[in-house]
Amino acid sequence: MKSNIRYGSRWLGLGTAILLVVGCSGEPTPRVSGGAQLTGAAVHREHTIFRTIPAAVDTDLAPGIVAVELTARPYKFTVGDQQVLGYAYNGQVPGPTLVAKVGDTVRVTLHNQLPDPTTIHWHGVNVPITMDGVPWKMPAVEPGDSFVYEFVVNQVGTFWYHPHFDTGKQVDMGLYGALVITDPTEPTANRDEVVVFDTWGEHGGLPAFPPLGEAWGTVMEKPTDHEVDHGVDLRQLRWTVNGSFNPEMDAVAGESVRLRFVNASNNGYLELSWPTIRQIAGDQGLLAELKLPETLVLAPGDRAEVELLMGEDPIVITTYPYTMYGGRTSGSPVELFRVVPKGQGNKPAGLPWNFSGEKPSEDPLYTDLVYVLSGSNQGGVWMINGETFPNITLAKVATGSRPVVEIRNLSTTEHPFHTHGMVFEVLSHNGVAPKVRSIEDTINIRIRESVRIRLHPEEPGEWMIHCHILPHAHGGMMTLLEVTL
Amino acid sequence: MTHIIWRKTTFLTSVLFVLNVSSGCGESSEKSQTTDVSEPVPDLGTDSGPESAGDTQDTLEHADMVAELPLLWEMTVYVTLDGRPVAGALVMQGGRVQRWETDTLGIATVTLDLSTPGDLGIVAAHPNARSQAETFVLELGLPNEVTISLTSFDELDNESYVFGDPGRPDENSSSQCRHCHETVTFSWFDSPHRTSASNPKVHDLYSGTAASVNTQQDCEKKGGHWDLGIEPGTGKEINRCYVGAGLLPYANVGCQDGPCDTPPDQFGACADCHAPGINGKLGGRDLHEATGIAYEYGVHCDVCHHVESVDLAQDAPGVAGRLKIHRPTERASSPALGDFLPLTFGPNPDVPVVKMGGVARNHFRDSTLCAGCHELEHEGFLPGDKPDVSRWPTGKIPIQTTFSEWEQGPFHPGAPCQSCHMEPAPLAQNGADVQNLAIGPGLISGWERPPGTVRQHSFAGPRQPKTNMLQLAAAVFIEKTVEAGAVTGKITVKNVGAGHAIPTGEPMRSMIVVVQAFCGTTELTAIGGDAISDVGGYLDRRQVDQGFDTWPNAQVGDVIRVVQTTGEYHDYPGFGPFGDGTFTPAQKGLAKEWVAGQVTVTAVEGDTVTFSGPLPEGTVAYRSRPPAVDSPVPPGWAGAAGFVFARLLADAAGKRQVPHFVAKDVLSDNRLLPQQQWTSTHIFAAGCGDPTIRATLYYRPYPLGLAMERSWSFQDTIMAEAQR
Repeated sequence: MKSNIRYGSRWLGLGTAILLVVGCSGEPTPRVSGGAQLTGAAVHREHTIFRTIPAAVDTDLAPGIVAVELTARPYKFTVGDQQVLGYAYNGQVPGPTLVAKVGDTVRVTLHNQLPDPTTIHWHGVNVPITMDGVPWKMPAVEPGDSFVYEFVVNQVGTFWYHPHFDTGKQVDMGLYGALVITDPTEPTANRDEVVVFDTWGEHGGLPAFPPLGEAWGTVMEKPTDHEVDHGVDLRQLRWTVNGSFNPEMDAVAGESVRLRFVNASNNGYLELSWPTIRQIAGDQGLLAELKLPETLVLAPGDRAEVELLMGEDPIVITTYPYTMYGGRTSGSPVELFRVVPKGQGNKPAGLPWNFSGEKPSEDPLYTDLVYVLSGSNQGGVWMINGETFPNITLAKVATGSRPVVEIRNLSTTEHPFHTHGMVFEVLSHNGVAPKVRSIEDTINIRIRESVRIRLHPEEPGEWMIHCHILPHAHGGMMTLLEVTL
Repeated sequence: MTHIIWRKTTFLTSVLFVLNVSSGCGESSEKSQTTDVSEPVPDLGTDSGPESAGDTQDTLEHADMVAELPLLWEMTVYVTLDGRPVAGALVMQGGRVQRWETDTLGIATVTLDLSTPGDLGIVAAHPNARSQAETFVLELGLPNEVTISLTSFDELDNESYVFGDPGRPDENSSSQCRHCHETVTFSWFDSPHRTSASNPKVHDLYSGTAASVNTQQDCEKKGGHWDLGIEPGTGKEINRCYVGAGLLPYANVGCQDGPCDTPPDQFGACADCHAPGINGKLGGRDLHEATGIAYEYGVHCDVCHHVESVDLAQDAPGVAGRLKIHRPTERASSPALGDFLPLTFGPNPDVPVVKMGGVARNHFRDSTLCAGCHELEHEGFLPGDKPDVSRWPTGKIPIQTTFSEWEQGPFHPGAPCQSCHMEPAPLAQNGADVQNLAIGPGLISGWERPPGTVRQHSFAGPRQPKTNMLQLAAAVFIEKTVEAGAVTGKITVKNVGAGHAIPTGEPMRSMIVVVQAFCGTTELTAIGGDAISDVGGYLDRRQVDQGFDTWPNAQVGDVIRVVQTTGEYHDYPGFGPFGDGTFTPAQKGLAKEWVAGQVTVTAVEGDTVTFSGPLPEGTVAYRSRPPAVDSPVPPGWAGAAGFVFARLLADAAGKRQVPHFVAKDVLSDNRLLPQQQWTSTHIFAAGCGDPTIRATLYYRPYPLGLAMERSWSFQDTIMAEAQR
């Protein structure tokens, strides 16, 4: 494993503080407050500028083709006030947003300038198995090599891309970006932003900002007894929003803002909250109808889209402290970012989204496959049906079939269950059907919950199914499902 | 990783400076000055251009990073045990996870993180001593050396110790565990561990009684004796209904046919697990000695947390066997601590508060502690009831093998018992619920722990419906074919979720899959395929040589189900000799029984009954009665289309489904081990083109016959159901 060397004020600790104080250069110095409460992002009382993620440059002017070059390489960047040496696509974290229209051919040339092999997985997008970025169906892209991913996009919504080789490490170091597939018939918001969340300091037991490489090495590869003692996440995680802490997004009173959320964290959950959440889309584009949830839980790997209707008051997006060990935990909501309108104007009406109005499918009351998730942070072993990848039993379903799958969680944590190569409709949670038809590729399974889904396998191949808490995937919570012709 | 450590010589000054930094250095500006004293960044061809994602150029205003600096302080800690330096002691900062071990000189050099919430303290822990701590006041400065003296606890168990009161949700006293430990105590209160000593069914089987029969008339109607005997929980004599088998009457000559005429001397070691909190000597205790806390609270806090070790080599379960109890002997110096200096074993080494006297033990983190009771073999009490050594070479039969089933399965060791049965308590910041305390985290209230550390003490299982444990364990799959006027269903029952067999534990338990077919709402007649055995329950049973025409006590509406046996046996995968190739199919004891058909009783005249149609030919017939709405027990399913999964015990006379203390043989054991499945076949006359097959898997906690004998009221629980 490469060494990860970082420098910055956070690690300097007391020594830094003293040097700064003694130097008394006129710069402000971090200080210790009474009680020295580590409360994550809550202590950030000022705001940074919201950074719109730069879009990838389409190098092919032909209509219907989106051609993008992505170069993955080590990259030194800043998070908050500390510099880290991580990885990045095209020198930015998050990576450039890929934008295509439904029906387009997406051609991405990946140049690997990392010291490690890598791949790109198109999370949530139905691609041919050879384009899925899983290294057992195609070789990983070796350092110095390039590979062209090409596929036609037939879905609409907010997706994301990330490596599927040493996933936990490479995602944690900064390799991820959004893929937005648009539908020209959808209404256009005044502002349309991708918002990628990531966590820092989730590796319990280590200081708040462990060197990234060390976090990988100690938490994901082999949990120590100490981490076993204390789990792997802290009570309050520190979230970045498009790479920044606590940014402030400009808006104009009277306009509508479409936000496309992606949770790129390895293992951090969000329970988003603000007054009047208007959720318009989930993992797979527009919902069947508008949802107005009290809060919006985004598990690792999850996406959701919301519509903000800006009046003259700022909208503060917060998250409740939410742990994989059972959901909301103690503590107050923490601000993630805020949208601050300028000018005067009333809240606009919601846009006329093309909600299908489709009702949830009825549960046929039989089951074709069961996946039981088990394991414990005590041992760092995470299983599906008592098996750890790659020692798994290959289940099979037919292309075009609609098998009913039941996922059950008998472990100590929640798990975002993610399917490659196919989407699914949610039939029920603990026997209760959803009120709104829900098509997903990633769904959170709570502790002792049973979730029934109906798979939509369309592309043949041996597809990965796994927990998207990446340490859990690394600990074995992955399996394969073969879609036969 | 680069840690900058400042030693004592600079510390106090630095703290003062840090505390006054904003006033000492003039105006705040927008960026913190970083002074790089870490390793230089090697040239790896990195980008660091203006597009830098989180570049501080974006910063509108300096993010106030108050209190986020890790302030580190290096300290040398000397640990002694009984006055001598001790190697291998754990040293840690309260509230942090990093641990150091002392060297042969008893020294550990530790780094304190001064930003840790709560009291600033160093804890030392050793397996032979109560953990101890030294705390510091930051403003007074920190030493760079500290000595922590540990004292070995007396390894002798103290029979004079009186087990403490766990408490209950509707009371609150500072002498109770629940006073501080609400989350875990409340969850334990709803668990079967709490009722292990007071469960009336346990006492019915112990004494040979029917506790719910409370009049002499009803008792005698059941064929029982109404007599004076000991009331569980009080020790008083009251009139009780003595009926059926019981441990005391079985194992003690003077106790047969009623209460004991002479004091019993055989107690079956029931109390060693069911009432481990009986004060005084361990083992050889009468379950009737459980009164007060020992009775009301069964397996409670102060018992489990006095388990110093678990010796799996011991055959006997419980506190006189595998569980080694250490109750403290050292006199307490303060009445507030009780008579003896507290000694509490638990999973964490950083519990130095005197009120707890914490000592860490790993058996609280894995399945070992559970194995202390949830594993039981039995060799019979009476000379004539010893197991057949040609079938059971050790002379013992397996009764409860939950730990072994897990240990030999795929969930070992990755998913210990706690991972399923003790869910995290996400709101609890530590075991003492420090989130509810005004004093905040620290030495007294415990340091804050991350989510997932504190586990509910619910011990979730089949008797807690809200936990869904039964529904999570099993799945049912259906394959259906329709041809030649018949619909055939292949029903697969799989143990998908449990890390042990299902059912497990008490061998009275069974799973029954009932298979039905329908055309619309019309139920179809089963005409073949696997039948539910006698374990599925019945009111009456007759062999073909007894004739199927007379049924004493029959009522109109009763169902007579006829099955055909062939003398063949199922070759199923099972536990132990039932699955390792030791036993032949015949020795596995699960006879193939096929559905022959069923009729309904339409008229009764004396013992002679009239049926709804011609009686099918078969070898055995079972009479059952569709349950009334208010029926205290579920229906008997014997002879219906379906299958049963159970460990089937028999006594010396060959009686089946007997309580374990009278058993001398395990006739069959086709319970489903982890990830194991079994497929049965069922055939119905198809009355339409596409009939629906429905399969319902029930969990049945008690044999129907035993429940009716003792007037136990219960219903089956649906574990899984499917239709296709």
